[in-house]
This record gives sequence, structure tokens and C-alpha cells, in this order.
Amino acid sequence: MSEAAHEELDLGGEVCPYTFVRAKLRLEELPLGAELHILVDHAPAAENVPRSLRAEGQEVVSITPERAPGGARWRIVTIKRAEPRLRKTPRT
Amino acid sequence: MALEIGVLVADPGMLERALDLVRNVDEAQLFLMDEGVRAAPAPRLVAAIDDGLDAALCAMDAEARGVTAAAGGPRFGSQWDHATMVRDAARVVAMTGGRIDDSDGATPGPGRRVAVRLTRDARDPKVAQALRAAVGYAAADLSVVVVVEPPARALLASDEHAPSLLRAIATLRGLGHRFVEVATSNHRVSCDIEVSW
Repeated sequence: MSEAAHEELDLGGEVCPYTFVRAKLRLEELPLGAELHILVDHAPAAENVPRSLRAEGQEVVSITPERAPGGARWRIVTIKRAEPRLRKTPRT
Repeated sequence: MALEIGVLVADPGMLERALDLVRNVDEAQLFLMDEGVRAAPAPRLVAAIDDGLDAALCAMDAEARGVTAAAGGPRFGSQWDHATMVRDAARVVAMTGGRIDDSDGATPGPGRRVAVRLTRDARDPKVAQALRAAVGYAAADLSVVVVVEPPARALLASDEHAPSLLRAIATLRGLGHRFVEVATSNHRVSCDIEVSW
């Protein structure tokens, strides 16, 4: 894995739909090409967050289980490849 | 191929009706959430999936109700699946346990306007589920308006609610979505899709 600097978003204790809402909000703040490590500790999020990221055009590099103080968690490494759309954009 | 119909089932008693709707449709999707996840093991649903139906359930609701993954059953998804179904299906039918909404005709895609109608007391668990779904819609680039009918009026009249409700309200408002109080259940708001809870 690249040793390049990356941002980290700890979503421990967070569940759907706030996992992907917060992931998108964080990606919104980052420049294209930035690497974001998202930490989740809810097993379904380890599958569903990457799926939603890919569907939005982001690159998901890896999903790795890790040991955490409270039990299992997963590190989702993603690279921002598209601008997320989250704020309300009324149809004209 | 475009998604022809998406059906939300939040009441297990509605499953049969939902399956009747998607029968013989080439591109159909079913999403189970809330109490609807209890219908996951239904043999007719498993048979429909075997025949090509795309069916998912809310993993969080399943976990809360002790519903586990079964061979051939719906996949464990998220509110993202629900929201993209509402965004992308030509016709959306919502069966949440109250009135049945059948929305057809609006062009699918981002920016589609979804009205989430709250028809119950603000403390009813279905209201929390409605707002959770609404947050998912917002995250999938839908334009959300939460329509508050008289039984749910306390939702906006007070700040004394469960943290999950307060968070959903703050999230929706923070993302620029609206809450509208209406005087009667007959009051319609301009929207493409309606989902009543």
C-alpha cells in the first residue's frame, strides 16, 4: 500500500445511513485524488459503504479487517475520483 | 436495462401483494425494512429471487430483529439500496403498513423529489424509520420534503425527542431538505414520489 499521506475518518459506533452520509461529507472536503481511510465497526457497513462509494464513482482500494479495542473493525481505503453530490440539488 | 418498478415493504403482511406487483416484470427490485424484514425467509420470496428478482433488506433492521441471512434469500443491504431504488425506478410502490403509495410517471434519476409523509404520532417507531430512510434518500441525491401530518405534529413542536430523531431532523435540515406541516392528510405537496409512514 502507498505510504502517501492520507486522511482518516473513524466511524466507530456509527450505523447506516450515517456511515455513508459522513463518508460522503468527508470526501466532499477533499481534493480529487485524495486517499481516505474509513474505519467502521458495524459488519454490514464493511460491505455496504464500499458498495455505495463505488456506485458514486469513488475508487475502493481495499477493505481490511483489523483488531480494535472493542472488537472487530474494518479499514476501507478509498481514493476520491468523483465529486460527491450530497447537498440538495433541486431538479429544474 | 432500466429499473421498471421498485417496491418498499415495511410490513410483512404486504409481501404477497408486493410479489404480485413484481411478477412478470423484467427489471424489478424489492427492499425490505422495519418489520418487513421478517418476511425475508418467505418461500415465495426466495422463489422470486431464484427467478431473477433483485431483493435486499436493511441489514440493521434485520440485526435488530434477529433475522439472519438465509441461502437464496434477500441480500443484506442498506438504506443506500433503498434510496437508489427510489431514485432509479420508473415506478415506486411503498407499503409501510399504512396507506399504500404508488408513484409513477416522473423521470427517474438524481434530484427526483420525494415526499416522506409522517402520518403517525412522533413517538411511533415508524416515524424514526421514516426519517432514517429520508436521510438515506438525501445521501443518494434525492430532493426530500418531510410532510408532517397532524398526528406527528409534536415532531416539530418540541425538541424533546429521542436522539435518533433529533439527529435525522438536523441532518436533513443541514443538507437543505425541508419539513412541511400540513393541516390534513388530503393536503398534497409537489413531488415525484410519495412514501407514507
